Amino acid sequence: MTNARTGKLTFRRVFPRFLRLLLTLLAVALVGFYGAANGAKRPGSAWAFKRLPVFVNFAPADVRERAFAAMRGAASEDGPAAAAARTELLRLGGAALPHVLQKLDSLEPSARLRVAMALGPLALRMHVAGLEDVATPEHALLFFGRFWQDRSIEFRPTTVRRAVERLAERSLTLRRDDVIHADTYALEALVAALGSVKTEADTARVARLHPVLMHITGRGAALSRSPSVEEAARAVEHWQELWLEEGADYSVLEGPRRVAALVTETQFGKWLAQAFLWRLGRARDGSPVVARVLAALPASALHVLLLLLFALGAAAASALADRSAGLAGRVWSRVTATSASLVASYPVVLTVALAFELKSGRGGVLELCAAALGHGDVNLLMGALLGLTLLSELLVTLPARLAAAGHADDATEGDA
Amino acid sequence: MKAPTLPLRAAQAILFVWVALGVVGAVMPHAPALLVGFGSDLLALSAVLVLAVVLGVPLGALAGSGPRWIDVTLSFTTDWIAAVPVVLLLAFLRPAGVSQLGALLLLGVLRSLEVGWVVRSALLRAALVDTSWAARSLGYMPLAVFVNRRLPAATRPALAHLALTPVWTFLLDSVGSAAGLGAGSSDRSLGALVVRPQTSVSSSALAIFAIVSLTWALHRLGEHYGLRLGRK
Repeated sequence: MTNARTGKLTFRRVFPRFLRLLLTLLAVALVGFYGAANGAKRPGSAWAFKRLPVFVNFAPADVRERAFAAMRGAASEDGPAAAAARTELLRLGGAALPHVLQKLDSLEPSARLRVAMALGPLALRMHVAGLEDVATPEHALLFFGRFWQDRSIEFRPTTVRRAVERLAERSLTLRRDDVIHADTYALEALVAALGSVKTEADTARVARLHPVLMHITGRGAALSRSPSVEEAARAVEHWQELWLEEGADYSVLEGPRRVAALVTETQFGKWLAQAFLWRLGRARDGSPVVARVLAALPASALHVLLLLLFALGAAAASALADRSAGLAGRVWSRVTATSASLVASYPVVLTVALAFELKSGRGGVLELCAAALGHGDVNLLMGALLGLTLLSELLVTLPARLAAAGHADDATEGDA
Repeated sequence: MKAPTLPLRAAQAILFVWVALGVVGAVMPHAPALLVGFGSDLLALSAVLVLAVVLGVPLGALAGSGPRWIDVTLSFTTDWIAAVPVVLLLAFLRPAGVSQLGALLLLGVLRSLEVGWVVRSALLRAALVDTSWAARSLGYMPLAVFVNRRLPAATRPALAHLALTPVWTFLLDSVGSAAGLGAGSSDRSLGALVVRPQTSVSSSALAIFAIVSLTWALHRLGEHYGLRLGRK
């Protein structure tokens, strides 16, 4: 028992409460995310990470595994599966080359020719070959053999990082080509070099890197001639999103990175990353989750408070029906008993508030939760749940615990 | 022994009619929707009430008088469950393939946590008037004091809380169905029936009246038998 007087805030009182709040948030986040991931299975959900396991990924796939699988597919006779594998090989791009070209000799001659031919468009994208270099399977095989002999040394993280840093400083054709030669192998360094956008200098850096990223990935929209800070920030967010979604497809998971991938390459890991990077991320319609939740919280707080007051008022009024003596004592007794019942029934109070919000259409955070679950909007649902947890903590749990602590202190003082 | 009063007789009659209609609704799946709703709700209420009493009362008794870690665990669990509306919790688990029986078990466990919390709070309030030392000086064991004094003091609030169970399940069914998240206990329940667009106003009114009257009856019976238990 603390020696502090009743009602005084001390570290010994606040710290355990704070710890419990963190644990509660964690428990709500885990259970809520399980529900959110289930909700995202519904048709129409825009959750991009559905293909990943929810909490633990025991077999995270990286570029090496994907490249080998695509190479085996591209080596097979023509057909829909082979066509899909060739498309995948092009998507993986330069990041797959160190793995594919080293294994090329292990394939039988005809398969080797098919893979080399499949890599032809990649060589053109990387600006390392002319049309005639990859016009026939034999030419393509010859070209890639020479290419790997001459340029394998360039496919090293430090070399590529340096090339990207040089491009970020100043955009020259030669510097741009150095990065384009590495293709998707440079994607990680490129996304990291984008950094945060706050000043004009940051905007200029993004304007130098953005066209190269567009060229390599074949995605994104061109920036205007003189982009604003907001436009550049949006572009950076787009590339960071892409990296979050497909980063493992372009990088090798080894050592500590592979261990971390057990958690990071999961739906929960991706949501956590989004939550930290972009303050709980964006809803399905593109609006920021934090803003929507903060706008909806006061309405729900009001609904819940009114319901609690109504229940306590009804309990106090019910004491009037009792004709025995001591009205004040009876009212107090009913109110305390009802308070305990209300704390226990708080999830039902929330359910009644949800019913009210659904019926009245006065959008609160509860309605937001139900709508987000219905649409499979993971970011919005998680944001709304966390907001709801804080609301519950402020309205019910914390006052109930403080009252209980005060009660216990009174009892202790009485004993003394 | 005093003869039962009129409200008590009415409560007993309501409970009897409910059980009779519920049994008919449960054994006749092709009966009118209202009757099927009675059967579904009776099954859900029985399962939830039995679990709430069997799990909730001992849990609350242990939390209110037993080792501190049980109280801490119960309060932490209620803390985080309190953060999420029950209807959402049920909706979270439903797509994972929770069966009808699983849903009823889950409802029962959630209700038992609530009952446990109410019993625990009542026991702690009763402990403020601590008769243990006086009882010990007279030669009584603490267990006897617990069983004869504290537990009966917790009976009334626990029964009052349990009496609200029909409204609790009705709300979960109706709000869950209205929000498109699925009914808490069953899609054939009275709660799901009243929010269905094709249900007539008279059927809805009858279903709501049935739920309110059952709640009143359970409350009245709980008051009566709770008081008798308290006096013993």
